Amino acid sequence: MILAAFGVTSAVAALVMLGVVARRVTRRLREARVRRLTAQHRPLLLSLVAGDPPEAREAATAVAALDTASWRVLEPAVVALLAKVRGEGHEEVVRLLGTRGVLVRARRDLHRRRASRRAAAADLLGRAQVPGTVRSLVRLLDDRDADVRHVAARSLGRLGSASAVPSLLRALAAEPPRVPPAAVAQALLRIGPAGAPDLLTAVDHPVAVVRSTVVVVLGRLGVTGAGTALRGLLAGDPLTDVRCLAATALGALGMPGAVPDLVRATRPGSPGALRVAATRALGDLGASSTVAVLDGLLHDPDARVATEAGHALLGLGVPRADVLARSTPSSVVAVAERVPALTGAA
Amino acid sequence: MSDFVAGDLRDAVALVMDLSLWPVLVYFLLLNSSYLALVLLAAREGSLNRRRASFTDHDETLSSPLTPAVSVLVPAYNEEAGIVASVSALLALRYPRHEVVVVDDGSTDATFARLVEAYGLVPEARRIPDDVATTATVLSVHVPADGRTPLVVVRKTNSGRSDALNVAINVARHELVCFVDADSLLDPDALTVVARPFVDDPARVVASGGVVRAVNGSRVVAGRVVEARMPQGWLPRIQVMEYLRAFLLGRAGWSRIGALVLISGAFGLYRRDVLVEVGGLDPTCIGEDFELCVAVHRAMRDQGRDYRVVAVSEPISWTEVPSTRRVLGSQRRRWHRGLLEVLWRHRRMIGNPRYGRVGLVALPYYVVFELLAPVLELVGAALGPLALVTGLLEPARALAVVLAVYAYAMFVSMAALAVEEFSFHRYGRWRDLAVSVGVALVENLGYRQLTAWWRLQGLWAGLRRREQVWGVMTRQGFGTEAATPSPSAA
Amino acid sequence: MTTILVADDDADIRDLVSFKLEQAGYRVVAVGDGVQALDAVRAELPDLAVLDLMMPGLSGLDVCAQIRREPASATLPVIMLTARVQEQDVATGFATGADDYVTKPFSPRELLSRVQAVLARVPVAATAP
Repeated sequence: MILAAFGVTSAVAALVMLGVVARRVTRRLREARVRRLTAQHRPLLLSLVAGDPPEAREAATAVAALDTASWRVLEPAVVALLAKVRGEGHEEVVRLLGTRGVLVRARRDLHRRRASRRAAAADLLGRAQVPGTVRSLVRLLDDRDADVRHVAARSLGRLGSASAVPSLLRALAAEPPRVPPAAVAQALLRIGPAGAPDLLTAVDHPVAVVRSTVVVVLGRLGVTGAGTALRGLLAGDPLTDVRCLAATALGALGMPGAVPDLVRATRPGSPGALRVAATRALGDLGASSTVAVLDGLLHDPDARVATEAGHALLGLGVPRADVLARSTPSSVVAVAERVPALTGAA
Repeated sequence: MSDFVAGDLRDAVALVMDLSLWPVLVYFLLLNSSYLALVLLAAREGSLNRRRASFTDHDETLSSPLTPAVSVLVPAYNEEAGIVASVSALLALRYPRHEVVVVDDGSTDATFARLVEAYGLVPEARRIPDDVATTATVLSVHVPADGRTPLVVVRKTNSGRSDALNVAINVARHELVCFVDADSLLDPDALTVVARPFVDDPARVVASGGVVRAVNGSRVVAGRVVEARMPQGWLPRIQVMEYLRAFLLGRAGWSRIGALVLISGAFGLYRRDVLVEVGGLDPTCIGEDFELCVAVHRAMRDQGRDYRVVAVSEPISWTEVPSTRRVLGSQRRRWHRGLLEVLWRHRRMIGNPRYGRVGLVALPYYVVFELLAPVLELVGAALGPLALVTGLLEPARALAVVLAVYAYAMFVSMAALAVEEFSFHRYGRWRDLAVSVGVALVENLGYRQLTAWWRLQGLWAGLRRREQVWGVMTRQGFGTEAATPSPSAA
Repeated sequence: MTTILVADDDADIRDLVSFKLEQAGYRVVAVGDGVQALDAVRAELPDLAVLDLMMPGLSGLDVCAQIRREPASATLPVIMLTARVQEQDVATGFATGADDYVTKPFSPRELLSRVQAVLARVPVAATAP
């Protein structure tokens, strides 16, 4: 009995090994073929994407006429180029994908049973920025598969249509969010200022993650009209996280009008994290009127606030030596000065 | 001899045999089956990842404004040879916002001078918060004079790796902190990959661990592994396979069932606020990385939080493994002693339903199949010959038993090899495949028993130590691990 | 002949940039990482360098800073290729001494015109091979 077990196990182990070898052989062969074909057609692809118009057209015609087997090998390389160029080169690639029927297939694949097919299709349509796919992609934000929802959000960002903003925010408002907040933020950034009106109506959304995402995006986009709303959140949002993000966004917007609000947020009564964020934001904001406040914060009992104040002052162009001298109890300075001596000794 | 064996001893051995042969066999069957289960879980994960590859966009993590900033913490004790190369590789990791915090743990060589020279360090007046308790005295803080390179170098009195990392946690300014060893080599996308779980599920992920592989023998250019290769010498070769099984497959499996309790200290990412909550690393504990991860689980479960600790399955961090028996032996003794300490400290969690799968599955597994493994291993190894000598088992039957156990272990190794081949295929040369098969054939002959012996020694040392001087641990200098030569990065 | 150094770890980008520049009549030296880029700067004495911001080992910013430190290449014009469209990085790029930047995904034609514009700004004496 035991010997039989040994025999069976060894046989299975040997089979597994054979599988590994077979897999390796087939992969090697396939890779060699892919390498050969891509190397062979490389100049064609380069002219297609980076050539002058007549040359690019010529290359497009040549690739469009390739036999199906070669095209299938080449297709991933062509699709990869979509992510790397914009302008005419990008348009050429999209046109070629259209001619070869790849885009039609992708639209069909949006409804496949297998999640990875739906996700890949949504990804391709986004990269190719095919107009008229916004509605299908918005529907995929409710897909049962998390990857598909994620890719759909990303592709909506690439398409850049402001009409998708409410749906993206809705996907975020679910509990738990149907799409990672980072993916929604990225999509909203790609859509850009055109989405600002919808973003502004969402600053007092009841779901915290919606508010925080919107705050970050508004700051990054530099939507100056958001100043009032952000100051409101800084002063009164129930969540410290959101208040911190509002402070950071105000710093990024660089509006001097926000200085009093930020200074108020640095006062000792505020939560520690908010004081740190507000101090950093004062530095980002870059108004020289804040130097006096930051000077005061250098002596703050909270080490983190003091450090941020130092960095902020350096950012505002105050010489390092001044910051050092102003900031610290004499003992620390003494240690700092001793260090070059230590270096020399080492 | 035969006289000696003939009497009572023979009866005693017969009794032991009767009582233990089947339990030992069943134990090995279960042990290898558990490996196999983990390998299969990893295989599933691998095939999902492979399908995902076509539409995963790493650039998204790189460019999203919500990608959390990371402080990379590097403890350094007498690392003058490699420190500048590792710091510059860490600074050049592809990531949107990260700083590198080097803690010079009272080095007696030119570690600090090298950094000053390379980055033009100037002193900075920074008060360091005391979020985590530390014992060392911080001497000074330095930053590059150019004002843009995100590097902080802290000098402190020597107090060991754990305390150095605790100082680094205090110094860290960002919301995530990443532990790396000064002599590890990271793939350029390592941070992006290991931070991805935090980006995708920011509300729940509190820690993620990367895969660590053995760098020995691989081609390294400018601090980067450009081609994975099998090393010369069977000792490191076997370890390459060990790391493969343990990190790549084992942890992916544990992560999948939500019970990952071990994140390697050579490459792990944590939320800083969670580390502050659990008080950072415990300098009195030898298995400090394991302890930290278990402590995080414990704290999260105690608070009833919905949280995740995950492993990413891409190979991303490379470390030099010992190539001599002496160094390997002391490493394994230390690991096993650490394992014992951590399990003992958190014994309340073991089998406790309050701690979910961590308490009911992962920790009991570590007790039975890791902590006790060397004991059973050696009992098994001793029983066979003893039974033969005493004539209790006829040679054919004994051989069959040994062969069956051996074949199963080999099969598991092959399965692991197959998952690596199908999912990652990092080792491209045919020679390496042949060597891997060779390892699967020979690792159970000698190596396995040798490590079992070392682990048993570690276990014993741990047991004795606790009876005598519990809590007054002599500090393990950070230099112990660095006894291995650093990778030929230069 | 005007020589341009192209450093990017992405082979597609490297090839596309090289193709476009070679078509425009420049001699191109293409490398895959920061360390090789510095070596090429010293060995080839290019007239302009196109550097990727995020390269493994040694980033474009580090390479640029080093180029500025070395007297032989201190005035070498540098164009930064960056995947990130964050103002902060661009500002850092300029602070380190980059002359211009191009964001990825990029337009080959736009890159070429920036190269031409930057070269036109350089005094003739410096571009003579």
